[in-house]
Amino acid sequence: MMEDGALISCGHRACQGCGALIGLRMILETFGSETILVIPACCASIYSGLFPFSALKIPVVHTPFASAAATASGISRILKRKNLPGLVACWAGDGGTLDIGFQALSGACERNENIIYICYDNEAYMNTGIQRSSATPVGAWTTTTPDRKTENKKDIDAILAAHKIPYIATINPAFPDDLERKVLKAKEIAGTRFLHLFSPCPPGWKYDFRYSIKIARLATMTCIFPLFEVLNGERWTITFDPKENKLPVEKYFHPECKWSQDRFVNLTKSDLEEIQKNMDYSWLDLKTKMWK
Amino acid sequence: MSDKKILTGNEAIALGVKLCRPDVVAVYPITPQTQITEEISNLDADVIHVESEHSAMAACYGAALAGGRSFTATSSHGLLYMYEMLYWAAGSRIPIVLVNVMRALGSPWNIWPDHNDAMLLRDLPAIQLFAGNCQEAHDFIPIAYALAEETSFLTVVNIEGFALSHSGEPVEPLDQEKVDLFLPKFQPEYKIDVENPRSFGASSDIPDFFFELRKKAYGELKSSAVNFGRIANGFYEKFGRRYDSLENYLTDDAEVVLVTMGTAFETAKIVVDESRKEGKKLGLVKIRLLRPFPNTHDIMAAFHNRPKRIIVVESNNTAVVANELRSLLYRNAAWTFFGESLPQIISFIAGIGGKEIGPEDIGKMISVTKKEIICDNYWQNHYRGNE
Repeated sequence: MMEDGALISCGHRACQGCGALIGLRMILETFGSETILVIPACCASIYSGLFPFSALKIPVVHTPFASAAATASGISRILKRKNLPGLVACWAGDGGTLDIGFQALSGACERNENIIYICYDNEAYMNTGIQRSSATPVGAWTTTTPDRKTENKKDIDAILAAHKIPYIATINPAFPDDLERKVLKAKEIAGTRFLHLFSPCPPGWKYDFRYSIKIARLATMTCIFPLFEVLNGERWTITFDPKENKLPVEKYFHPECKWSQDRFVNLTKSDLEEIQKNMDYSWLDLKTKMWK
Repeated sequence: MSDKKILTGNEAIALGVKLCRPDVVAVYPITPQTQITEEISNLDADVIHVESEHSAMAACYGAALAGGRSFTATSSHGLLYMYEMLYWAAGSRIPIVLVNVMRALGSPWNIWPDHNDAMLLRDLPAIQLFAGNCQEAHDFIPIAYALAEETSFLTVVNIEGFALSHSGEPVEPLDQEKVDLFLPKFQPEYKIDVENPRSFGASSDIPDFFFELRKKAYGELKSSAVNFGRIANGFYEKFGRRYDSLENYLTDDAEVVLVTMGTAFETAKIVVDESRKEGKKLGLVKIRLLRPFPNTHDIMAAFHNRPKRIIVVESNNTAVVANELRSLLYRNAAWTFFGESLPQIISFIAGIGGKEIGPEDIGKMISVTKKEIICDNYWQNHYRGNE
């Protein structure tokens, strides 16, 4: 385990309270200095530092939007072939994973390439100024869904589970022990591993930057972002069950206090009832998967 | 000297690739390149069965950055799909060899050859070779690797679909031991190294950095013609075949010179030989190295007899090669050389979408342009004025 922040310099360009960067810091502590990050077009392309500087003290390969998993595949094959050290990891936003990057990711999964793909999910195209992606939750405001997004969030975890890759896990910076355990586990497994990082975004979700961790915790306590892992696409395990502390979805969408997210301002009471119903069903479904 | 084998262009290329011992080959099929894909799936290399051409070039980019020798091949729509990554890879200044088996661009669908797909590459900071027969297709692979790895440029070898890719010709396969001597191991100066971490391809706050990179790249692209000359000499010494950037045939006393790329050379040669029998002083040039475009020195050597007329027989829709030649002759040393006797440069757009160019087509073009005719671009079968 490296010292906190050892691989990330001060002066990186992430926003105050960026959930993704908090997550990256935690992940790199566990992965260590032999990590090679492949970064497609996304916020990280910028916050990792502008030429001639890099805020990340590891090799970083910048690559076009659609290509993260494919570029990583090429790197990982050479490292293996030439017996060179390195842990190849993609560090991509939700757009570069669920939308434009999906084809390459699916291809890499199908070939079981020896890479770790980390999607830091801030639920929209944030680098270009908050446009909707398929990871944007239903009801959310974005610049391209100024009223609300009408479609449900694409379930990338289930899609990749169908690819039967060795390891999938959802991780949350508000649950650092759970995150650390999963990251360490992913490090030790060969083949394609997918980590889905919940990444609150102050400017995009429109909340006070101080409450990133608070919001992240609420997402899991309401079961909107459940914490689980999937082995080989078949063995699903919930790694954190809020049990009697489970909160109604209202506490996340309309908390009516300092950590409210203005992107959900257009949700009505009946929207919330609908969301609660769907969320309850998903949570039950997840529990059922555990017992299959 | 080993025995010759009958090999199709695709087979000749696949064998050339094998001899260069790539570390990684990214494979995705498309007509008429598919046989290359099939042959290279059997190599002692890491074969990545990518899910698209865009990913094929991305995998090559990653592999090359990690210090591996990589290869991929495509055609037409595959090249288009790959286009974004081609710019990225080319701008990264890492060596990758790409074979483009030239095929028409839709819509509508057309699997037959023309050069339009290759023309898309002309503004890239990348080296482009055009093979005119299966031996060249074979030989150009190690030459391309030597060139790419010496100059750090993406290097493309273009061959015509079907006309070359599927046509069997006698090819003398290169000897593996000699290729190993000709083409040393790939030792990049910069690569992904956890002991020496670097960032590759990062954005810059300051436009000047980017500008300097591009200025340097295009300058080096121009001077890579010198690298090509040296490497081609080395190839000649080892293998006995000489490849200049331009092949000049009977240009010394020519009054009209035909300019071709690819297989049209062989057809045009028939016309030139026939015309010579009739006492007409025709000459012929084959362009092998399109990028960097032949410099004024090479052009002056090809046209030193100051021909009155140059007819470019080209298989692209917009007279690209004729226009580049016109542009070149309008500048610096060429302008001085030709002085008041600038030749007419006529473009004969032929062979589009696989339409055959026969000797009679070229013959007609020559006889038509003998009369007073506007110096312009002409499409096959369409002539202005009287025949």
